[in-house]
Amino acid sequence: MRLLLIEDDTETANYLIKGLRESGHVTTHAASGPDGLRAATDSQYDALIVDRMLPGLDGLSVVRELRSAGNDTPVLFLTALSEVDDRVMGLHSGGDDYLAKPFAFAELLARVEAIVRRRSKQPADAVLRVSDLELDRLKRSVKRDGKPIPLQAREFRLLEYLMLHTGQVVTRTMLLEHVWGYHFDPQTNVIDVHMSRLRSKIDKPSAQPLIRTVRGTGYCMHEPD
Amino acid sequence: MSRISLVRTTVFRLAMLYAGLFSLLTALSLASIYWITTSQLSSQIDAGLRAEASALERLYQLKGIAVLRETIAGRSTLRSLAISNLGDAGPRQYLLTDPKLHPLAGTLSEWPAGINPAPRQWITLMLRLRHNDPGLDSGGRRDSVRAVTLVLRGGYHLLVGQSLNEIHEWRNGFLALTLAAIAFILIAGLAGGALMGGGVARRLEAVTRAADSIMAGDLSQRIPEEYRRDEFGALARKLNTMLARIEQLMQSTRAVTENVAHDLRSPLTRLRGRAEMALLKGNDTLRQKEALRKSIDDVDGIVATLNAILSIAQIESGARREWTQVDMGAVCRDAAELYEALAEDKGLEFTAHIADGLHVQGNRQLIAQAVGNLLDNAIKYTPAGGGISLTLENPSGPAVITVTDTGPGIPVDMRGKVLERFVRLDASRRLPGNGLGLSLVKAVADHHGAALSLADNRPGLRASLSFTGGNSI
Repeated sequence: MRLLLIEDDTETANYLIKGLRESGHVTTHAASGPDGLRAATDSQYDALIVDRMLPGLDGLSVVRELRSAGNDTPVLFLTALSEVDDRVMGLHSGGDDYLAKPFAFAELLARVEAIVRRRSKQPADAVLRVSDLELDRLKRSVKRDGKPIPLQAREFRLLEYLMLHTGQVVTRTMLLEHVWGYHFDPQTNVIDVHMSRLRSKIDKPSAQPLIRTVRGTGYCMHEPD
Repeated sequence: MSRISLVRTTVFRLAMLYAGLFSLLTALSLASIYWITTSQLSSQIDAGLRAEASALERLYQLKGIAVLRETIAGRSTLRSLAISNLGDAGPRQYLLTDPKLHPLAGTLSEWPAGINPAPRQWITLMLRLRHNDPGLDSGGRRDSVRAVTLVLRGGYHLLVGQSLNEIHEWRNGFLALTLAAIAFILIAGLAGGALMGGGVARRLEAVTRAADSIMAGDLSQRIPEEYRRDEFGALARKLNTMLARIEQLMQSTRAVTENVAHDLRSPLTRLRGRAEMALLKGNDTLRQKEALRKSIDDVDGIVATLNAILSIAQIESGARREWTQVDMGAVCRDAAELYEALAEDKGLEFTAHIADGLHVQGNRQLIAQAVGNLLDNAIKYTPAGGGISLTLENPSGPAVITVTDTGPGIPVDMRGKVLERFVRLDASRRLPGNGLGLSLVKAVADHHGAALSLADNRPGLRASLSFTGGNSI
């Protein structure tokens, strides 16, 4: 993917660029609001990673200007402010997602991939398939190898989200936000318990495992190798 | 310290303004009374003089100069003067002369200088009056006299006049009265203003003094409260309440800062130690990687603590964000569903009784987080084999959420304490957590005007969040 990082802190920018390049993404860097706006206007990117606080022109204004000029490149906001209404404001001004500093690099990568995927995706299929796992979104039924698997409503949504992001890492906070609608961090990692239940139903010991744990980050639904 | 000068007090200025205004009004009304009265008196005098002059002219036309001369001489005697004095504003003055202005009879010894003898002429003279009776002599004083002159047939000149002494005396008295009235109003206003202004200034000075001490850093300073229930007493009480709240906030801020420093020092010390150990010679890459991984866990812990502190601070700041009608049943069912799995994994029995159709005005995220924290605590502190429950009901008021467990509970004397930030019971120190869970629940409860109560579940803890009808703050 071609990414544009607008971030004024050199140290953070260097580490992000290094990580993104190692993950196979072509990354351009702009160190100020006006520079970032120019770069985003001049060429086409798959996603923008924009810091909220920028010299010259703040991140919100950069994205607002891009949006009013008809540019709808997906945007992930980075911020040192973790307040709820900052998140809301970021999304209102045209951002697609929001990440509070400090964050795990894997979280950033997962979220960037998720917003790009969400944007490029056509209206999703009614039936999602990964290997021999099949999820029917209309009938709300799940089959593995042709055998129906009964799931609770929340487990169904959990699996649906994982399958919509097949091949991508999905973090625990992403699951909390999108499956439970919680924008806070529960003290205990409750997600792990639900994931292990889901896996016990989907990935029976006999079958090929489809859900992989990504250490320290989250989970990944993937086609078997 | 800035003393409020009396002259600059509002009350004093107002009093002075009113005194000035009343003086002006008094002067104006007295002036108009004066003007009306004097013009009335003048026209009365003129009417009297006109009648007298006409009567004398008529007498002359009927009876001739001799009778006129005799009559005027008679009227100029003491007795006539005295009589005429009774009903009139002052003794009349007469002068009858021949065509060459030689006096024939009257009270004046000669025709007044500078006055042309003309018919029906009104004049005002300054005269030294001569009376027939020395007792009535004005003693050298010059009187102002209003007079009318006539030219009789045959060239005789007649002057009939009247002294304006009485009017002048009355006028002087009136002027003195006016000045006295104005002086009285001004003095009374000044005294009243000084008295009231001084009182106000004195009471405000107490406030100023307290404010000065507070600005100098003594937050415990209070404004002396007077028992009087007037607006100053009310103001002092209100300010003192405000000061108490500010002092309390300052203290809690200080306590939080100290606690933050304390709670971050331990993980930071750990982090630093780990980094130093990893740098020691003889460590292989594997060990260094492990040290780095643990360091990241430490950093995550520190960030989680900071986030919790910030969340609580933000909730306590009081601004209501994302305020909507919250379906409490849905919030509780979601939380139950999320934590039930956790409880069962730990071998705890989880029961939920959730009533439908209960709504509360509030922030869904915050309420969900509060319920989550209560459930999280219950699960964390209850040993395997125990039971926890979540109940949503409305015995009175919109909604009561109750979370119970069969864990060790919280001793009575510690129940208030655990709601404070960073307070953890010694027994729970080995468990993960930052001691902010219940503080956050408390902050959310306060934010929604709800009550958080901790009670004995015999055994265990029973935590209730009672939302009231008018959750207004």
